[in-house]
Amino acid sequence: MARTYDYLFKLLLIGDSGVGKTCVLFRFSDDSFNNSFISTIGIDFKIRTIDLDGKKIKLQIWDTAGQERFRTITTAYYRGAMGIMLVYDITNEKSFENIKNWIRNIEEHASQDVERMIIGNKCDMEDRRVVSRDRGQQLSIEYGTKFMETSAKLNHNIEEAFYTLARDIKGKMERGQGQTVGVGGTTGRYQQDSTIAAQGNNLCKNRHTFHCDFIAF
Amino acid sequence: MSVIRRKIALMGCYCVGKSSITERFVSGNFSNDYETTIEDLQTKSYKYDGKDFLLRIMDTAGHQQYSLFPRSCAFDVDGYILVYSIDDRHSFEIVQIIYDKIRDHMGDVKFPVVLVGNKIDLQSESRAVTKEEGLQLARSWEAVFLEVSAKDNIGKSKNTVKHVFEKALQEIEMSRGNVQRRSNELRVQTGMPSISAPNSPRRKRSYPVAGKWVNSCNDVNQDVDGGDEVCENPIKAAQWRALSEKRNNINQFLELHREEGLHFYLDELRHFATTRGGLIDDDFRAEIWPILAERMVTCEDEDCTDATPSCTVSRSTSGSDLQTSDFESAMSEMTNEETTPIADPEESGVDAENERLEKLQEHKEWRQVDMDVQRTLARFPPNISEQHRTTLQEDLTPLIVQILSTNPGFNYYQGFHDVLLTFLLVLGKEKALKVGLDITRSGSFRAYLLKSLEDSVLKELNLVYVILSRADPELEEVMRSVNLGGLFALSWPLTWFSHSLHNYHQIVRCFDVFLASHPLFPIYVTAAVVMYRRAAVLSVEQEMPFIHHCLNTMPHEIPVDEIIADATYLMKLMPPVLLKGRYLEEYQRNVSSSPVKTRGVSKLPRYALQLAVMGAAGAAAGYFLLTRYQI
Ligand SMILES: Nc1nc2c(ncn2[C@@H]2O[C@H](COP(=O)(O)OP(=O)(O)OP(=O)(O)O)[C@@H](O)[C@H]2O)c(=O)[nH]1
Ligand SMILES: Nc1nc2c(ncn2[C@@H]2O[C@H](COP(=O)(O)OP(=O)(O)OP(=O)(O)O)[C@@H](O)[C@H]2O)c(=O)[nH]1
Ligand SMILES: [Mg+2]
Ligand SMILES: [Mg+2]
Repeated sequence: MARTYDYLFKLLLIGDSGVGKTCVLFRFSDDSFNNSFISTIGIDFKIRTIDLDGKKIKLQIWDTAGQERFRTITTAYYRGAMGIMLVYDITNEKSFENIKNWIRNIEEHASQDVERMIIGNKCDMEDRRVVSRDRGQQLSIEYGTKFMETSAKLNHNIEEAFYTLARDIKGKMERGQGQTVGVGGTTGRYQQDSTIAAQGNNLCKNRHTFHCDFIAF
Repeated sequence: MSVIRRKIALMGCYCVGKSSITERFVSGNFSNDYETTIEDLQTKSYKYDGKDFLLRIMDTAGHQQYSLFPRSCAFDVDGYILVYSIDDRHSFEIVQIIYDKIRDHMGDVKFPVVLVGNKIDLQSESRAVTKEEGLQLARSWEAVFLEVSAKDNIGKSKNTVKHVFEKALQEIEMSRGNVQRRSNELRVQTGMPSISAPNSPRRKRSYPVAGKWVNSCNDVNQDVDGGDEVCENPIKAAQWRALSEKRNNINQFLELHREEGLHFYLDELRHFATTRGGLIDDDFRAEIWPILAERMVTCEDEDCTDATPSCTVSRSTSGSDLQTSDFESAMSEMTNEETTPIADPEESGVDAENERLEKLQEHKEWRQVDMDVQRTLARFPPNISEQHRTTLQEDLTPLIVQILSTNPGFNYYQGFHDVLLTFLLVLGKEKALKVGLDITRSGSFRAYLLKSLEDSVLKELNLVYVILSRADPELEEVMRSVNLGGLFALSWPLTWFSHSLHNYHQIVRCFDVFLASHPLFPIYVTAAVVMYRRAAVLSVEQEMPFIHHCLNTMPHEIPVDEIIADATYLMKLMPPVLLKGRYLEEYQRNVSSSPVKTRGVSKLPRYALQLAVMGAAGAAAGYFLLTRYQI
């Protein structure tokens, strides 16, 4: 079935190992949470189409391995992303502190105007919380991103988080950036792509090419 | 009033109109264009029987005979809509295959299902499946049957897309005992058992786990034992005879030489492990794996390891001296003297055991390892008791950390735990530790633990392209042109496929071969898997994400024996020394001189590919080939 969507957005989930990225994604794409999840090795995506203010938006959401050892490998995939969710675990201080490093990673490898959002996951585990809501909020203000606490387990704020991120991307895209064809350099590649999308009858053909340049021997 | 959530999955062959039906239902639109689906979840609010429902509709990728049963359709699904196209005979056959797969997952219970023949607008021009046939099939499933057209969805008829979903919902609610059947139902038989009621056993079961173990541990044993049943099928019967013969041979061999010391017969053991069926029995494995691991085939050059000087192929039948010196040099590297490689809990007593555990818990990787071990549930058999599983999980973390602490340079990677879990399941705690120490003494695992992944596994994975450029240039070119890289297969060599194969037997079968082969053999298997998936790769959109996703998803029914036979063949044609040397250089030259097109590389005969295409018949051919190209 051809182009049953108006836009295609590529999103990326990053954050330390075990913070719940895969669970968050499964909750959103399959609406399920169970105990048979396995740790992520490498990278893969899931798709879900959502309705946003009358537009059909297809979300292609990439889930990455969080372990340090995989970090440099997965950064090759940052470049095509239009939105990135930085996930930490509210019961794990280290994962929160590492958000800074993940942000630095984004700044180095993702396109400059990528939409970012910080997520404090596992907020169902209030009794084991070590990172207060305030600190999460504070950090997000510091970096100028949106912030939400979620629980993949209880399906709390998961939809909201993805919808918010998608809405921000859509807003940014529609705010006149349709005219700025080929601003090139400073704008990320998604803008060019979405420009084409906007021109093409609002039908976005999935031509956002991801780059991965590790065919180095 | 509260909204009731129900999840419905649409499955069927590609291009039958699953997405069109979904789209028609969700938004009322239809398009004549075709864009293949990977997977999509849509939602729609729907009023039925006076209640408010939120329908979540899982639109899936087109199914093929060998494709994976999608994880997303394996759990939490309340009912299925199986679609074929009335102008495509093949798609009718595919729905039957899918139905059987679902049943396998469910463990033979009935489930709410609607069979749909789509594209009925084409019936006067090109009908290939009669209505009667559809009805009959549905009857055999006790399912509802409808013929519709997503294109001409005529409102007043009783057979519209809306009815499809309404029937599905009705089936679901009926199976839960929430609605009564009306008398004029199309469905022939009544009385579908209430299988998806909230607390019935089926709901409790976790499907991925069950799925992984459908033909689990002992399926070969069952094959071997249950000869009567399989004899109807000549190929299966031949396979069965060959396997049971092999099993007897191994048994006799072990009886004969056990006393003497099996390590004198390394060649024979490797032969058993690499040929069809592998070591067949977990009992044999428990005896043979430790011997194979102790004398792993090592690389010809030093590249594979951290420059352990005595790195050569050991050809000798008698456990060679080289290995011993290898072992000693490895042991002398262990600066962490306090950790004894093998601790005997009985001798050391409870206190010492606790102390040992505490020591291990201080290891920098303990937390990460433990977190990964906690997420191995899907790899245990469903018939294993929870207590047994918990014990195994408790044993696994210290086991891994103990291996890691033998070398301060070891950096744990996620996936190493999958390897050790396999050893633990087959061998038990003590032997698993010994084998774990052995396999990290040289070879690939040592490199993965010591070097960066870019410098170890990704380099190896680049060789897949070199293999493909000679064995299947067209496929290689497609993969290169989209900048696919090697990440799609990252977990394959890293975990010896134990992270991505779905069935225990397939995993241990791979381990048999890997323990008895050259360290690069997993790379040849990777290439063989890619070639086996050729049709799928070429049928998805030629862009990185789609090809990545396609290859990254391992089909359930992958014929491991044939793939291993293919890989063996590939390795014979392109031995590791040449692959890493001349062939790699040639490949790099070719790629840089003609960035998109590869030329000047001679094509290989398409044995491997033919095998894959031949499917079941390939089994026999594979056996034949292997006996011909015996190592
Ligand atoms: N209580 C609770 N547990 C969660 C939640 N989300 C995830 N978990 C648990 O956290 C563990 C890790 O979740 P994953 O989704 O596998 O973590 P990940 O971030 O994908 O980790 P890597 O794949 O290693 O990078 C799992 O055991 C989940 O059961 C949540 O919202 N609440
Ligand atoms: N004539 C006719 N064409 C149809 C009908 N339904 C779908 N098609 C066409 O069949 C093609 C495939 O439709 P899709 O809905 O994309 O098929 P699909 O089953 O989702 O395919 P995959 O996602 O690849 O598995 C498209 O070109 C549709 O326009 C129908 O009822 N009648
Ligand atoms: Mg994950
Ligand atoms: Mg489709």
